[in-house]
Amino acid sequence: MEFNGNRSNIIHLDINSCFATIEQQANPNLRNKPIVVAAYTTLSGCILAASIEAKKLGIKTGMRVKDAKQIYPRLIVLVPDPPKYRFVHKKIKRILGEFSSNVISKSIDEFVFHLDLLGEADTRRVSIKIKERIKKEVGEYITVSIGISTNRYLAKIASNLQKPDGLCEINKENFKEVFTKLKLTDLTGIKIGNSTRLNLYGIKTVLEFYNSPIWKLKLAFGGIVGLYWHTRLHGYEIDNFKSLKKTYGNSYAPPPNKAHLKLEILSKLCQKTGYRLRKAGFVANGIHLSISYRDGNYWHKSIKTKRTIFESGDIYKEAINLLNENLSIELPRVISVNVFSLQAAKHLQLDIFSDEIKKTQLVTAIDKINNKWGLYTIHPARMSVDSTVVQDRISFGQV
Amino acid sequence: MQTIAEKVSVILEDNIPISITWKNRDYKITKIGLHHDYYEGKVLMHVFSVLSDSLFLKLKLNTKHLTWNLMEIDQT
Repeated sequence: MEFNGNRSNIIHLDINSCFATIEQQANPNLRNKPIVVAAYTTLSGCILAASIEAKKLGIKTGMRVKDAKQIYPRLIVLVPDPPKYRFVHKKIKRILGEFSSNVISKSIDEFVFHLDLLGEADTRRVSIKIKERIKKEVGEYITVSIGISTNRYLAKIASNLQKPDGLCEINKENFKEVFTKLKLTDLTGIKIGNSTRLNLYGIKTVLEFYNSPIWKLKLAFGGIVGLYWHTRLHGYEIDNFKSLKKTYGNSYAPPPNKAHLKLEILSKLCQKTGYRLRKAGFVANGIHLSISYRDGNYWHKSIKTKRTIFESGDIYKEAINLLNENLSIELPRVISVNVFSLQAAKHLQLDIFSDEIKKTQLVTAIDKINNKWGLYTIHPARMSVDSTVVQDRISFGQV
Repeated sequence: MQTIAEKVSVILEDNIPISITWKNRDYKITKIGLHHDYYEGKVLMHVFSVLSDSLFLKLKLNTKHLTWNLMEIDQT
């Protein structure tokens, strides 16, 4: 298979150091300074985004605030402000919508879209125009890296080639030069595990990966995945599928002083999960509860429920039934609730022991009130009303 | 960063705040960092992150009650 010779018309756009840059845009006093946005400002808080200046010092996403402060003691630590980040996301998406009819949000800081019937020079010109529009209409401090290629995967790789404020393309003319400069682990989806698999088959560079026959990659990856990698690296599209949502859930890592409020936290997680499930128009037939403990232990259990669940109180009852099977007295580090086996809410199974229609009407009325006056306006007495417990967060790959 | 959450009066020009009065003192707004909005329930809130010289101020307009709140200040 030769590299795809079609015009590069897929664009991947990545907001550089997203949360941190948006904070620096909002507060000009923070510009050109090492700052981080962390889940909590306490020393054990996990860093969600580091500014370009902090990254230059070696501070990375996923580090603890304590470790980052050892690198730079005067580091400014901020808590996330999700409405601000969602606003910027929507504003950029609106701008991109003027250039393409099919803009897909990959996460809060990543977009992918294609341009129709444009030559390579035009794709670059459009990309430059997009950068200018973002600076003018969203904020002069916000920079984006744009990658252009013939498929989504290589467009993403191209967007990582130059940060911040990059504009790079991978095409039939330059792919060998680009691949020569990359390590296997620079490729998205290839980390230590996959790199070791490839090494076992004598594939040690990206160019060797590209040149490997399909049979070898199938052996290395154990099946069809090898063909997918071969197709991706040759510039053909394989990642343009829509994944279906199969679960709804929420998790919370309570700080040590709130870890004893297990039931209050669980109630709030169930309220949020139920609200999101109903808003998406689903009911569930299964529930999964998991708890990681501060001593490093992990417990989880899931069941298929005998009845369809959609009301947050019912989700809580099922979660409590599961929790009663857990005998640990340790304090939790992370509590997580998920509902699964989803089906459209219109196929509601009637129950002879409870009035499901009445319950549906009640839940609809409560949701209406909460929509109007804000989530948790009407909530169970058990639920934690502390606004710092189960805060609004932007989860991985979501907006 | 200091959380305030106090009512303030704001002077607008072309829908952009140009001056605020807080604790009987006027603060002239010298730069708008970001203007974003979001919903609290069904109520639209406008948030202006601004500078008054070197003082950072975060102002929130409740579009239902038409009240302005000073949410945060910061002098980094």
